[in-house]
Amino acid sequence: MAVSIGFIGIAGLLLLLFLRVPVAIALIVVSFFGIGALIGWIPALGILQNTPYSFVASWTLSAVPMFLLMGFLAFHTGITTGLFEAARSILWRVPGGLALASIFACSGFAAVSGSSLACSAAMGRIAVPEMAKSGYSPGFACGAVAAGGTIGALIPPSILMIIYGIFAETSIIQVFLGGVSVGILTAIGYCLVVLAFCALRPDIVPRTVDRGESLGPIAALGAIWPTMLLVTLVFGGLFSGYFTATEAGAVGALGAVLISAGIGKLTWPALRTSLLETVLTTVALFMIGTGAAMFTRFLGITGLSGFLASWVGAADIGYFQLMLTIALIYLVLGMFMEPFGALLITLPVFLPILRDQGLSLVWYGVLVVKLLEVGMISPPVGMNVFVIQSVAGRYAGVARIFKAVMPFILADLLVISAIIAVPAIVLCLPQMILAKP
Amino acid sequence: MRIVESAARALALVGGLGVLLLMAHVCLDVVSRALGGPPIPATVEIASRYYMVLIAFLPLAWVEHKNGMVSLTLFDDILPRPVLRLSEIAVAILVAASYALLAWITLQTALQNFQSGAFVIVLNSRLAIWPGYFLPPLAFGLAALMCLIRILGLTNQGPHGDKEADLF
Repeated sequence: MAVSIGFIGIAGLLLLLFLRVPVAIALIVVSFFGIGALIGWIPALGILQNTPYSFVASWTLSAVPMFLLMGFLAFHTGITTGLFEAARSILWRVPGGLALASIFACSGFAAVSGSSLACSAAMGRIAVPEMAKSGYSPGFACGAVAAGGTIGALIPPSILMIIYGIFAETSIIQVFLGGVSVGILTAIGYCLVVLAFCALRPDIVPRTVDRGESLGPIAALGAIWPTMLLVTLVFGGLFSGYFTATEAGAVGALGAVLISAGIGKLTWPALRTSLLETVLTTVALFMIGTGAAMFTRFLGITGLSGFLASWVGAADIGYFQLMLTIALIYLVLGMFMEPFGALLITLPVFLPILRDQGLSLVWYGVLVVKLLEVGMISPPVGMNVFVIQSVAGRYAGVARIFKAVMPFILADLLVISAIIAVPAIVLCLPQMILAKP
Repeated sequence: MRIVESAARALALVGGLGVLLLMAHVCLDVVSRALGGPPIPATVEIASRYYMVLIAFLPLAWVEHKNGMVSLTLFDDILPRPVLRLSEIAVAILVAASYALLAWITLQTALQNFQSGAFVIVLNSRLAIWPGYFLPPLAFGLAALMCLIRILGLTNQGPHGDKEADLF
């Protein structure tokens, strides 16, 4: 009986989402009525009464607004604008160098930003016009930066990974470290796509080398030192134990303020916009988190997750079948939902199954972020593509960018297959650095 | 309506101030410890019970005003405009009702904690935490009001169309 109410709850949630009810409210409404029907309206009201405050008044969660502020400041004050020029100065001899440089620059920006949207927006503004000027197909130029942006959520810091770590009760630092190798692997995959196009379709990616004005090595270093300083400050301090992952966000945000002020780029409009975007994103995210915390309680009461876990155990579903199913669910959800909603409505269902199967939650966290990031560039609701369209819309329309990201999605699927087939890709770095699984 | 909008924006800016305070407080604590000094007392408690609550709740009405809550926009281009408008009104009513219920129920917690003078003990001294409990009812109440204003606007004109508009 309780399990069937769980299934009805999930169906109700999907119905509300399709009726365009905000994700947070849909989660809260379903949990309230579900808990009310199962154990009575007084306990349901009690959960409604206590969850918003108890979820938010959290020390660990304070990393979210701090890392968001760091990323928005890096973006709005432009302390990362030198990344593209520096990567370009190194890669100018290589055919397809501009597209490769934009992917490298995205990876660099990823180390100071926790979200892929900021990453795409920052690089889209700079790299797309340069590529279009040098004879790249504008659609491909936009597609490469939209895809490159997804590295933003893989290379730490990553807001998705922080939220995952909190809900899965697993080490955020370990998930961060696991994300590094997957971020690098993703970047390599995207570079191979660029090189393949360069070899096979020179009408899309010209083989001619970039003859634009290029920086010398000293000037290149001068262009990226603010970013390098910020990355060293945050990750140096984090991995050498001066501060925790929660505190690293605050240090990074203050670092971004001081560095941008030091190079004369901190303006009041940039600071105000960064602060307002930080609170806007934080509030929207925490409301979904509050709803997800209630939904987790509701599913816990129904026993649905345990039912599914024992069903998976009894059905003797193999590892690859289970992972294929989970991957497909995320890829489909990612097509329609933004990643936080998709992550938080699925974790209460999947985590017990994974624990039951004895799979590493650190590994799963990285895998799930990678899967959700594919959703950021897959049609019809690929947020990165919309962002590129909004910052570089005069070069290519949404449909053209979606077509151009397809080869990059293919590379993503290969990376995902590799992570599933060889979990050590994710786990080697956390095990090496922290010397425990 | 103007007053509600201005209040919402002012509260969002206070939330932004909370972000800066959180940053400064945590960094002071980190620097003090790195230099071999004592940690700043009650950093964790003040960060979670004051700054986080400020950041997470105060800007809610403004986020609602900016249509910043995340929802699926899958059928926006497919549905005919009148159907879309009806669905927007229905959703706004559900959201307003949810906020109103949350405001009422969290106000009960706030009043209980106010009467009992809720506190936590940090290093043998009391840190009052009851004030933070008044922020959720305030935020949810104002957000409900903002939704009602949107419903009034929707019944008078077409659907909300400035979702892609500049945020600020």
